[in-house]
Amino acid sequence: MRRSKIRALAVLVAFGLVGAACGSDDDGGAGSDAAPVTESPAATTAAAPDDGDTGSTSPASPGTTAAPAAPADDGEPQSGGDLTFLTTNEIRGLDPTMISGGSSTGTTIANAIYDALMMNDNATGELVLGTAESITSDDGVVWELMIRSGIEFTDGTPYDAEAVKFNWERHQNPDVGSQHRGPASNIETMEVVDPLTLRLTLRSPNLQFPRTIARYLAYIASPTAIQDLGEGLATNPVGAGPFVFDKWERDSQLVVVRNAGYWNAPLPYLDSITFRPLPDDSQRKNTFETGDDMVLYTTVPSLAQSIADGDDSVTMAHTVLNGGASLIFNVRKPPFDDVRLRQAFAAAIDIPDLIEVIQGEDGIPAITLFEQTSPFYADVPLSQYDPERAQDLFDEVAAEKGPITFTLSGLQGTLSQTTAEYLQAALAAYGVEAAVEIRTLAEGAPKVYAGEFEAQLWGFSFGDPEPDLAEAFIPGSPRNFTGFDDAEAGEAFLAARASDDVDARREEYLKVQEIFAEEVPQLLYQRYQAFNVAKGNVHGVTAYEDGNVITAEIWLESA
Amino acid sequence: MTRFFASRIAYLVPVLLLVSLLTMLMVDLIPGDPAVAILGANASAEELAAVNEALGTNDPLPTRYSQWVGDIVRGDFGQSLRTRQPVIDELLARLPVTLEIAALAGLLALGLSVPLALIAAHRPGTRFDRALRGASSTLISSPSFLTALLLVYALAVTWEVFPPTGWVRLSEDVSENLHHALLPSLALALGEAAVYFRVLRADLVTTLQEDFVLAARARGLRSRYVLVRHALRPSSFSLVTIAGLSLGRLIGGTVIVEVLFGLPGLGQLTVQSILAKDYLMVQGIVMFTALGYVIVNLGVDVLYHQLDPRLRRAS
Repeated sequence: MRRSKIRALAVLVAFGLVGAACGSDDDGGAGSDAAPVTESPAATTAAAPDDGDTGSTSPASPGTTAAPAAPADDGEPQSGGDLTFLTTNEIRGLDPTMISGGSSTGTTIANAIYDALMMNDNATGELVLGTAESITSDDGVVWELMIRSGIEFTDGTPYDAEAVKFNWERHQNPDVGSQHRGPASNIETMEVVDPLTLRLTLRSPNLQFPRTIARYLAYIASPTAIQDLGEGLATNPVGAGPFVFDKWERDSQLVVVRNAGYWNAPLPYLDSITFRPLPDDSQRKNTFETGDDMVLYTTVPSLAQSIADGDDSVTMAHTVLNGGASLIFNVRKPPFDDVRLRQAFAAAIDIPDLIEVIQGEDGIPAITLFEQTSPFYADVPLSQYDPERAQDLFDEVAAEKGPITFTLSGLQGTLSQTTAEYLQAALAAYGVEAAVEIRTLAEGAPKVYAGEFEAQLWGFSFGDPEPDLAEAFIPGSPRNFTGFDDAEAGEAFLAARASDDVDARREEYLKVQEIFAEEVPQLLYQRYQAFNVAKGNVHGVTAYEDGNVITAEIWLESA
Repeated sequence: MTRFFASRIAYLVPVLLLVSLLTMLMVDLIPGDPAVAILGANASAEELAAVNEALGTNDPLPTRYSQWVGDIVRGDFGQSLRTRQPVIDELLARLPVTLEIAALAGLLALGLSVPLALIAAHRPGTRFDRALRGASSTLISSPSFLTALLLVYALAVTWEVFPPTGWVRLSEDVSENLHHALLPSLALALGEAAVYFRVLRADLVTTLQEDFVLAARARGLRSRYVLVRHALRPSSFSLVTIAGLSLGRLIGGTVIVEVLFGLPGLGQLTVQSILAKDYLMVQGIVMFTALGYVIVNLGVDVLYHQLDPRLRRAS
């Protein structure tokens, strides 16, 4: 890939006013401890005390650092213009209870309409505060969340502690069917201390709880609108974000227009954004190439590359996540309850070759748990191609237990099929027989949740290891699908969760990586990449977590 | 004619009941859990169970079906499991798009095939006739997505005559609506046009050898007049039949075309609903489609009566 064309922005550029309008080198960082926090510079200007140090005064408050500035070559932001954002799929609804934390499209749109309380920065391991002024805790059980003053939803309802409580109680209500009932249920009680302060009591200590908020509970809708509209909120959302919902024609276009009363003025720069879901890659590319003022989102490296090859002026926000696509083993039952077999897999597969086959030269093999840009990266390979060792291990197991056969399951999708077939062929060379089963998500996912699989192609990408990675491997977690119950790994995850120091967390995650390398609960093979490709005149496109874009910062350069 | 209509409409109720029952059975046979579409790919078994309990998707099929029929009788199509929105609202929003694409494709197919079949049948075996037959064979054997992509490459990307994707409602802007609808309709129409052409051409060639045509020619009538006024009508039975039957194909074809062109029609909704096991939405879509199919076939029967006076006398 031509790196010169790609601004490798596997980082979050904070969602505030960036660039010339703010002191981007301003170091607001005091108390750089627990779940560190990056303060939005513009937000600081708008709502913080004169010293600019918000959210960092409490002893156990997440630390504060400056947001990176927008790339210098972007120039002075200009206001006005209409942007078209081409996405890969339509979302279920615009209700915060329906917006998936791992959906780039959903989160990008939710950011536009609702804004976010806080967000995770993959690159620095820090949190970025949005509509939250601060979030602090001394013990990881009782938290105080302060909301910025003066924010209103676009229907005039105050955006305050009561509104946050109302939204989170709704997530907890089983009758609502929220996607985020699990994360919200970590909160035992909520108490409105004053109009802008919400006190939370968690069921168990978690000094990284703000990351769960950032990932799953960040979007707050107007309580008035929720009460008035009920389930109609899904098609007529009311938030306090930089844009106001205008109209939505499912599978065609969703239009949002500038919120003139946005709390973080002068953002946003654009007059409107039209989100258009186009599932077909080639048609999304055709539409991008024949249109103006556009951003295109894709997770297919070759598509992004082919656009870059055809137009020198386009720019890309390129996101590479930690973790990635992997083959997870059900360690609760044969044959993968035998660690030798799992270790054999980690030695049997030539991961770079697999990636070359399924994604071509633009794919990224995942050998370590974290990307090198992550603060938690350690050079601990989770797999090492060694066919002789693999054969020895397979032979040892086969001599003891008979021929090795298993079912290799995957979810529908081109890469699943190709990957499964590659693995099937590669393992056959060692005398291991894999029966491939590809299922729809609706069919395959419940089997994974219920532990009814042997080896499953599954994805678990994450920015910060909290909460997703930890939940996937802590013994007894309802999302621990592999059944991996290594007590030492569990303790390391809990110790990292209980720590408010990045270095201490790094040490704990190092232990986890070493255990993973030895115990192989899953065979990681491919990093997920996200590309937000922008026309040459579209500036301020930066991405975080799953490739989500903060649309308030985007601006168009007039001809 | 009144009795004819009454008897046809009397068929409608059992047909729709049977179709809805079979649809419910088929959707039920598809393995999978509708709660996954609601909770996403990172839920837990307990959360799935709670959602299924709340939605009633664990109830036995006869219970769900009888409840659905009861609701339909009261005019309530239910609520989509996936989007939580009323099924009827979604259907009414999307139906015009699919109907417009299918109708436009049908008209384009007829508009292309009938004149070409008349010309080809007028002098069968000529170079023009052979070329058209070759082209029609190629189009029939090409999948619609391939035809669509080639059309997009030529007309949208290279010459930029049409937009490659997108939709503008007829109520918003008629010319922009047609601008966006023509390319997907053409992609859908070409395959149908090729079939229509071959059927009509074959029937015309046969009809043109009939005595009454020879008699007309012997009376000195112009070829064009003989073709259009004497030969076309008796040659149209097969065409009318397959044009009526092709509604199902055209609606089926919109599934691919709508995804490819980003159109907010029933096709996309059908795919998404089946994959998510959103059975209430699938039921609603199938009901509307079946109703449309029955009505079009009723129209075909009426047309038969108009084309052939003997049928009118018989009924």
